[in-house]
Amino acid sequence: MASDHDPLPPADAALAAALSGPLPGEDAGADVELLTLEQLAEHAELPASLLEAVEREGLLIPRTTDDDRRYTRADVEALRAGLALVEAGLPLDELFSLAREHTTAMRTIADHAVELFVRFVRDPIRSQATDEDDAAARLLTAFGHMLPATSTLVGHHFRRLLVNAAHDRLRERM
Amino acid sequence: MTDVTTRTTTATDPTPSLWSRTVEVDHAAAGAVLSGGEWCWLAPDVELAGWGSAAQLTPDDEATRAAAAGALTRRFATIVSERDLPGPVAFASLTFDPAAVGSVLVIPRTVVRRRDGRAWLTVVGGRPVADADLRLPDPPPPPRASQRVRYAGASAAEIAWLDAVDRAVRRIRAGDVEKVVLARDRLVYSDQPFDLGALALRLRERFPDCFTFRVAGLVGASPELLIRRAGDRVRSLVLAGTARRGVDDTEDRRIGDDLLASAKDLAEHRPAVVSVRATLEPLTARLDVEDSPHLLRLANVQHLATSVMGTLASPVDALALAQRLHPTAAVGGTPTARALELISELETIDRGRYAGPVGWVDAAGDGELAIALRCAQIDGTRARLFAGAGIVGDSLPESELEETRLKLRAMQSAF
Repeated sequence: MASDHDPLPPADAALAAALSGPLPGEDAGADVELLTLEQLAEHAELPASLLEAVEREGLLIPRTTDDDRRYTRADVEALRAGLALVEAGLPLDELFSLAREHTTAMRTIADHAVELFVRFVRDPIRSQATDEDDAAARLLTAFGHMLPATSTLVGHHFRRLLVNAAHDRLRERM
Repeated sequence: MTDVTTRTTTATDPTPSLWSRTVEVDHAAAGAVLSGGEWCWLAPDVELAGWGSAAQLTPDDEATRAAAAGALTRRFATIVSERDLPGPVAFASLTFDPAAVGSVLVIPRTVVRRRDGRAWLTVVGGRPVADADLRLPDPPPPPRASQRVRYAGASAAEIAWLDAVDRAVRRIRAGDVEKVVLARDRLVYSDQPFDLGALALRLRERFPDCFTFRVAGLVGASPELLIRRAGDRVRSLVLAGTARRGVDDTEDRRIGDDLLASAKDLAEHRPAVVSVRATLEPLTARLDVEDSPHLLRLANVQHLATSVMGTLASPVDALALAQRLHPTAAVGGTPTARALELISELETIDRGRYAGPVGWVDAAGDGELAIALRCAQIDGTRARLFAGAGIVGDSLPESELEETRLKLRAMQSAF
């Protein structure tokens, strides 16, 4: 069995590097700047205590660089979106509760999605590639297409589910 | 204990005399009218309901509050009543902050009481009570169905509360205090005025082991007995440290076992026991405190509970005992004075009578007072629900937020 310390095959290593860098579909410029939690709190105009809680809840996921936890502008935007929900009236405790449910469900789905990627995208690429460089290039291309596509798909589908749920609720006279 | 019930007014006492008469009534007929009482106390071994006001005290500063138990005893002493029958009682609901306005102590004109399978009616009036006055109040109209309760907001933003918990944890770690209880509220409304009697009945049904109360718009079901006095016997039940119920027996037991072993919850529980023991020890000839907490399982949550029982060394009435015990570490913190300072610094809501003593006392000084937890202050179509959490050095702000969410939900679901 391969241990954690064995080097990854070069193609997988390239994918690992891509996962740690600016992600496809995100603004690469903004992503370069890595923020500390204090800076994140300042940019989002929220108390650091709240961000620590949000992170422990698994809703804020840091980039870890050499044991330092760092955050991006995209995290600032996500926090602002959360704050918009609170400012619209959602109590923070209820939002956390919903988010916990969401995280549990989505973590299972994320694991399943990664499993599908490995079995049906990565493995066939490795079997077909002429060499490691070719495999790396193909893997990065696939990843570059699939991550934004997945984000679009999930975002769109959840929006449709929300709209339908709201229609149903209105039909029940709230 | 001194028998004060038959003393009459003296020339130096300007308060006019009141007359009281008690008769035994039909148990079922008494039960049918209980929930119609303006004042209610529905406990496992005694049920009391009161109508109107024969005498009322409204202590509105620290001095009158401290003197309230004595003032009530003197008021009881002016009531002419028969011996050997349950006499008049007073309902009490005191503010958390002894200096705050809003405490209520009332001796109702009519009291219906059930205990040990028997029932009595007591009528108090400004003249000797005639036979014709000894009539049970009319039963209340059928309780209105449970109403849809809608969220109306909170007095303070939850983000600020979460931050206050974080600050409290830092202060505890810095050694300023050991434990502090921080509360928050939730405002709700309904299209129809709330039916307080029906709410009390639903709380009673859902929490049969708790103390259901209704005093001047404050309605709740508290699991926490601050003090019960019957003659020279006293009892208190300390609750601190909470976990949720499991979805099935296996999970429920696991959560309960974890709670009994949880260092964080035991750290929250111990100071509460110490504070009750420290108050009662000098007043009692004998005091038995459970060595380690047991689990108290309620419909919505399970608590660490320690039972404290004793024999008074000299007579102190139940209200005075409650005032000496309040605020316990279960609602204030430890050490008390520093915890209260931290509460006033970090907590932005006015607790009102939430977390204050609530219950009843009689002319002999016996009575039962709980801590007003799991309750709502109701005014017409609006209600304010409260919940608090004990903060210690290991507390996580988001877990405390969740604990208070579950407590608020338990109360809201009773509406």
